[in-house]
Amino acid sequence: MSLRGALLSFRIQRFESTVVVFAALLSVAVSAVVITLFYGGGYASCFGNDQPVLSSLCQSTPAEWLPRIARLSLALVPIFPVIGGLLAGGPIVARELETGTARLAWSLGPSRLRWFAQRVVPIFLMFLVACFAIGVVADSLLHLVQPTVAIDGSFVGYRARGLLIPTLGLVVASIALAIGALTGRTVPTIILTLMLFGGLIAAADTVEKKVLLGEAVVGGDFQYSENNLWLDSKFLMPDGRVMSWDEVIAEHPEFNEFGWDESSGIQPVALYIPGARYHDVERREAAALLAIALAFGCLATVAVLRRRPR
Amino acid sequence: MTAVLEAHGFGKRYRRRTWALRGVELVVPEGSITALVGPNGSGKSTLIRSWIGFERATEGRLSTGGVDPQRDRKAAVERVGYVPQTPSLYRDLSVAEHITLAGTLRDGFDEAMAARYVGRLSIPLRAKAGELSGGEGAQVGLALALATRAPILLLDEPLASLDPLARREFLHLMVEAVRAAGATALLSSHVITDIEQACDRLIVLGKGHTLLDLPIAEAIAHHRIVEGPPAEAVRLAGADALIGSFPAPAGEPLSLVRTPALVPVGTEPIGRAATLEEIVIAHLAAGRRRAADAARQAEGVAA
Repeated sequence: MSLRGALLSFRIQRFESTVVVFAALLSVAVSAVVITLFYGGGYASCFGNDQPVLSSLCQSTPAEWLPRIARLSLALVPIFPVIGGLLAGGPIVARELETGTARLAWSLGPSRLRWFAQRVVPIFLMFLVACFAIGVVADSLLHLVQPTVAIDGSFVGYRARGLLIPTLGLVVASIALAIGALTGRTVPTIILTLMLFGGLIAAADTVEKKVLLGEAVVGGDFQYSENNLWLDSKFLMPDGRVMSWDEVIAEHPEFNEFGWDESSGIQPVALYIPGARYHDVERREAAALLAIALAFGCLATVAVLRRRPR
Repeated sequence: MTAVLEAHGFGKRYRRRTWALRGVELVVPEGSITALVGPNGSGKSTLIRSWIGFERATEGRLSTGGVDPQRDRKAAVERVGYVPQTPSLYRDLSVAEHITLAGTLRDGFDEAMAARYVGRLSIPLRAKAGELSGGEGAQVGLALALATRAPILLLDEPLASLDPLARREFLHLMVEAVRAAGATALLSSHVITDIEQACDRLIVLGKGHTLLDLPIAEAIAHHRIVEGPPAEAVRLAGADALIGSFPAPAGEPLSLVRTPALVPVGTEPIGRAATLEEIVIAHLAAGRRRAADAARQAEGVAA
């Protein structure tokens, strides 16, 4: 793959590339300004403890607006990998099949794999860099908005910051790429990708929760902490078994009638993943998402190699 | 004669129902410019797309420059320059960028040659494809196909949307480039006058079958027109010689008959010389009649 080919790929997908790069640059620029003003202007001292600070600096408009802008930017972060993924991955094959340019390219170039790599790699790399930038920015903004949160040891903002932004983006882009290669139509590609991604995330949630429940810490003296990932509330039986309320009721039907007897030795416990494990869990989910993206990437490749152009 | 494009018992059926082509037997000799003629739906595009590996045969086999495009599509594409009916260029890319793109996709693509051809046609290299007329787009498509330096050129009705001048320029460039390179070209078209000027061989497809496959000079030498109803042609040339009848533009009946190229000295040839258009029309009419007869017979058997 040559630099000329990569540049032409951006030219062919100029609108989508511009939107993705512009959105990422805007987000990074706005965040950089907000973070610089926030820390450089001394507004950080207004936050970070529970007591309101009544200095004139903390009552000023920037002190009010900078965190608002940061919160708004953070709220938009989870949308980026989805919209960006659709824009980056959807049109690559779908639009070329729809407009007939795939026929021209496939008749000029004997290797469809070469064409595919030339079209996909530059666009996906650009999108990944944009997602990484957004993920890093989201980490910084979260620290600004919630200074008490330990960014590297907290599940606050899980899936909306850090490494999972580019991996989620890659999944959306790969699904769109594969569906586009199969359908050869842009609009159905977008609709089907959104449906499939929604279903996939729901399934991933279910599987991940099951996996995490197997690894969860059982805390009898659990106090809510935003850093930990709370999974479930259960009961610890005197013999060490951890049971749900329904299971406890099945063994002690009298609790249902007279209420839970504290003297029974049954303790309410919380199942949670400590915040210290954030990066472990994040990396594992990223690896799983990468595998999914790779599978869809392979499906797209097979579809491109086998299908006939319009 | 070395064949560079071959079809043997080739058939293509779409969605398990309609046969686009069936039992096609034909060869395109090396170095020829062959015209592929047939009505809409006769399977011309399907056949051309199959030779470049864009369609898979349902039955039979094909050969493109000695390779089976189904087994080795990459090798088939390497041997072919392809111009579709609509060139489908990238609207936002300039002509120069199309040439660059082709260079990145194909080893050995002659970018200078493509630029030269485009320049000869007075198409600005900086012009965006979206701003080109249909004729200019087709010319760019032809320039790209020629600059692949492929030994076989497949042209799938590229003249359909062109005005007469653009058609003439297109054909002139194609013939000149093909003759200079010693390449082989297959041109599918409805425009018989253009074919007559540019091609040296004629294949007529109808209802999915080959109806005629001859050098154009031979086709003209072996056919005569009898002005009158089929009975008159049968009386003059015999029932076996009658190919088909069709109405002239003014409505009077014409019949095409097959004759020997040479007639004995002192013998008046039957009727008058046939034009290429009359030969094509008569063969198409005969093909349609045979297909209708076959369908009636099939219905009779089913009943």
